[in-house]
Amino acid sequence: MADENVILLSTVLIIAGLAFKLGLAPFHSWIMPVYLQAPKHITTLLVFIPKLVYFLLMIRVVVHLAWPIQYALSGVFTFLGLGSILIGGLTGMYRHRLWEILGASGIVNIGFCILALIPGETSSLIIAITYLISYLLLSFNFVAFIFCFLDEKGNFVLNTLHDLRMIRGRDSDLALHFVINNFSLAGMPPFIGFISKALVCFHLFGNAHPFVAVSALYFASFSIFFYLSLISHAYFYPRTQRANYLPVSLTARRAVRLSTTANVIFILTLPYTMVLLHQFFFL
Amino acid sequence: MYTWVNRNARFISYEIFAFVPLCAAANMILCGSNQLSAIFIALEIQSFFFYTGVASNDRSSQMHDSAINYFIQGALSSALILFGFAILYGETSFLTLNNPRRHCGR
Repeated sequence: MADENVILLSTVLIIAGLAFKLGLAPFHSWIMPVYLQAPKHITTLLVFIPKLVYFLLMIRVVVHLAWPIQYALSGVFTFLGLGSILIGGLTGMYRHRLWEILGASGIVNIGFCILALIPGETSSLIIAITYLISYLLLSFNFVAFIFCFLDEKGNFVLNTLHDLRMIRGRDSDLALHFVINNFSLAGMPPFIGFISKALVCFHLFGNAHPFVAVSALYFASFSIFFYLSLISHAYFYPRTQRANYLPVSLTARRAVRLSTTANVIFILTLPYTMVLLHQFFFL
Repeated sequence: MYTWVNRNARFISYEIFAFVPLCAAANMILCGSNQLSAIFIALEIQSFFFYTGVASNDRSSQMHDSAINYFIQGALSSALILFGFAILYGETSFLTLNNPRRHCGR
């Protein structure tokens, strides 16, 4: 006869350990220096692999040990999720290096993934994994965009926000891809980022957590600040002199085009998604 | 990725790539296993790849700072996870995630 409270304690300890690996809010302090100072091929792996693997592990731990989710565990998820959305947005607002901004956006988005688990139904697992996959697609686009521009020695050309200003003069097509990607990350309507954020918020609204959904949207407005500053630096500043001498990597450019196409294709599936949402929440 | 690695040959220590298949196998075990001991060992192997990878650029002195920071915080997280597993084992006497005693209570 296992005591449920002891199992809940062990679940919370495991979740705290996995939150370190995922970079959730009270345990996020390693993210930005490591993303900035590690070799960038390791940073690229560090963006994708731990988020996917440890989030799946967290889902399995919660489903096997504490399902259906009790009140205490939903409180833990609310604290972790809302805290990461708020702190990720606030720290990203004052950063000007692109890898640090990528880390801040990772903190914000993994917070949304955690919030999707709060209602504790089978559909919340599906929505959380949908959000995770859409975020991984968008951050792949971001990383591939940074990898497009390398100088003769193989160093990165794009390091800070200010360096983004020379992109439109060299390759306005690629700059437009970057703008679409960042609108999607910010959650602007027709793109995949909006659809996944809407799924999470409707799911919270439909299962009697309206306060959590409203505060998540309110805190996410801080992260919209740095997405919009990325967009304005990439596309809405006058051209600079250095622009014509920028080299562009063709392989990374193809990767950016591919993932933006996958992003935009979701516009075509929008009516179907709306019908699905309607059936899902209102019937 | 391949062309990028060749162009950056000065900045990369290639020994790191020996860990990549190990890290991939550890990820598969992490996603698929029910045994707590297997999960913990896979988690440690995957973490070793990232600890060594973050510290693999010896050109920057700032990087040792972030690598030590990452290593200590990763060790703390592993300790928390191991403590949770230990409590779970002490309560149910099973080293699996979906243990039968979980459903016997109440």
